[in-house]
Amino acid sequence: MTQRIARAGLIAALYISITLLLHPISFGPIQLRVSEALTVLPILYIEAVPAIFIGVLISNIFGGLGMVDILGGSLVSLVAAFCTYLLRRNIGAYLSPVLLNGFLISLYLYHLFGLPYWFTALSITISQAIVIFGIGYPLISFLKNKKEKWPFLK
Amino acid sequence: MFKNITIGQYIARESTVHELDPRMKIIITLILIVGLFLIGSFWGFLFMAAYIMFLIYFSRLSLPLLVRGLKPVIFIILFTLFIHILFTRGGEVLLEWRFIRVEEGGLFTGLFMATRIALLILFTSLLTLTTSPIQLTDGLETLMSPLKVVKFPAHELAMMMTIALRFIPTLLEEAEKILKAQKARGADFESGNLLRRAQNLIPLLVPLFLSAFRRADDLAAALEARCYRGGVGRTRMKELVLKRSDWLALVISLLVVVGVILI
Repeated sequence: MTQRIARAGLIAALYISITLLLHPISFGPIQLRVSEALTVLPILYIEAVPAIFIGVLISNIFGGLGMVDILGGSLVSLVAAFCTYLLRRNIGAYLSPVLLNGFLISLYLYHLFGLPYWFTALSITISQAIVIFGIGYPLISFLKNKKEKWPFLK
Repeated sequence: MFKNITIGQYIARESTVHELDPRMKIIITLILIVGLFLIGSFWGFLFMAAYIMFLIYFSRLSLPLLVRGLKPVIFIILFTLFIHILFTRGGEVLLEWRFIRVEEGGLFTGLFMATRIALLILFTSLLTLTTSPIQLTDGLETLMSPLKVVKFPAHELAMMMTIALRFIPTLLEEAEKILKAQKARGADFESGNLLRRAQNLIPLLVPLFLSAFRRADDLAAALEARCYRGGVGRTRMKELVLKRSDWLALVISLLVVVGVILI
């Protein structure tokens, strides 16, 4: 249990650090949030589910779009991460953060900024797909390979 | 490169707002935000703006400091404003030039949305500026603790948050080192299309990722060596106590919110 708590804390820190590192492109209706690649981690580690939730929560506090983004974003990510965990044996694991984020985040960005819904939904879905299939997928295959060799990855 | 990121944004002062209970500050911020969404007129916004000035005065922070916090989102605010001005229709035509057409309704909605976002951000940053991250997580843990009845892991979540906040600066520093090391080896982070660029980040992300996992392993060993076994029976150095000023702040904020909604 302690191992899981510590690892979840570090995954959350990783998410926040990467978001902050690339902050000009991490927020808003047109965003490319590279840290979202970590949303596929629940495939291998269940503790990544709360970690992603916390990561998004704290990142969005720094992001400065306010409470709606903080709570909305983190809850959507929590649901997406949990679906990824449930679907961890098939392709749905990768699709859940792409589709859920794309369609739900844009829902509240639409209410928050009053921007056209389909525009936001499309822009977020594309950026999520780029990050998750471009980085998340190779990351998971890499980890699957190394998991048996390196004890700290178990 | 990362020096301009102000983590936690917390600024320590001795002020009435700083000394309020973090739980009450979280609740008040939530109430004010709900209020912002129920406001129907510019007068309401004006009163909310006046209220935030009042709060800033009592938190002994300066207004320019808070306004500076708006800088990273200025693009989004302007973007929202222009999208509405150009595409939202209704009311009289104010300006027409070739394909550009500005109508009264668009200008009004644009300004309305932009003001709302700006105020939302100001209220939230006031919370993070006057409450240290540790106080915030403490507050969240106690606010979530009634959920322990349904086996919600409130303590574990708060612990993860504390760990996350503690390790952000460490990982940022590490990222900077890896970035330099990979650049020295000829890694290219600046060219190519979007997908290419995202993939070019892998040489930065993988080492960062592995180092984080290694740290988690060490941290878990350290925690267990100190007999950490979760929240059960753990005591605190500083207990949270609600004072009279906390209730007063709640009542004033509620009155303000009800007032601006009724205007």
